[in-house]
Amino acid sequence: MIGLEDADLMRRTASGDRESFRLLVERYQKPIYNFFLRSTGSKEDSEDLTQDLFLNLFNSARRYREIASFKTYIFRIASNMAISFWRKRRGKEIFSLDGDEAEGSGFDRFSSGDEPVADLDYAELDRAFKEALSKLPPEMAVAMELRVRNEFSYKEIAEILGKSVSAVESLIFRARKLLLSELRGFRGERDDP
Amino acid sequence: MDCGEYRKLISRKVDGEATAEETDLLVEHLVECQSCRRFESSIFLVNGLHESIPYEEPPSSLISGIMSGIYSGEEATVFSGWAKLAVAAAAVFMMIVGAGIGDYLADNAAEETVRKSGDIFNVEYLAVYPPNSVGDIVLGAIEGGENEQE
Repeated sequence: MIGLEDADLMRRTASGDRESFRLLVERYQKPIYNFFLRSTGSKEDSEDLTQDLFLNLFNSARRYREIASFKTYIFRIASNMAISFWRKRRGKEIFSLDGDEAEGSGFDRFSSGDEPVADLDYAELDRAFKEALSKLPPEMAVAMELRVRNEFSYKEIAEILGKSVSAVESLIFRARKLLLSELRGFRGERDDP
Repeated sequence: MDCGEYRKLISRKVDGEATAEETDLLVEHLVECQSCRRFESSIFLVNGLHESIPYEEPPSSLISGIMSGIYSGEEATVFSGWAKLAVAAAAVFMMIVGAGIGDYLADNAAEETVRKSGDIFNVEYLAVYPPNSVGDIVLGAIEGGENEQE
């Protein structure tokens, strides 16, 4: 049974086979838990969201159709849950899209030195990056998580988020500019105590 | 293409989404544009920082929590299934009983009317109380019924 494809396991789950479902949980609990962990910043919330996702998945197994890959399907559910969670909890903390995204901001200011971030302490930079990541607008952060850490293609991300490929491309590019802009701010604080 | 367009292309290339032709164009541009080269190295750095965030092991209680949630959910579903069946059975029973009572009452009422009609049109009755009209017959039936009740 271990060699079965995700879709086969889902079909067996739909007919009440709980062991097949356990295998699906074992396969996906780690990426889904970490996806929520990046989204919420809270282990407790990530555990709750992961549990909710799998329970809903089990209860709606009969409605599963193999239109997309199972991985795309489960991350679509996770993305919707993460974005919904963020909008409820973190609406006031995320970046403003009006200011930092203006043309010429971000990288240009960030990389005004000889070599970008070469003189930064890595641990500090790592902390600053995580903080910047946590401030991204929900859809941008989800798109970045799907692309960078879960290696979905733009086409797959478009399917997951219900957007066009060019919209996903734009979302990721703008996210990167915001991250660079935020790191530039970090560097500025450090350089100008 | 200006530097803004090339930077979008850099982002696509980092994600493996640029075509071979686009990559060739970009390489040509990067040779002569220091600003875009810095942008590219910054994107690589940001990606590297993102990728280096370690994956954490989910708590061991997670999978057992999910599986026990499924079992308890199924019990609830089974119970609700039986409950629904019981309610449906009760509803059918009530419909049958209700229909039976209705039929019984209707039949009784009909029988009573026929019985009273029989009394009214009884020859002996008509001999004692000869009717003047159909109205009298009806009135007699009502009065007769009332008298019987008394």
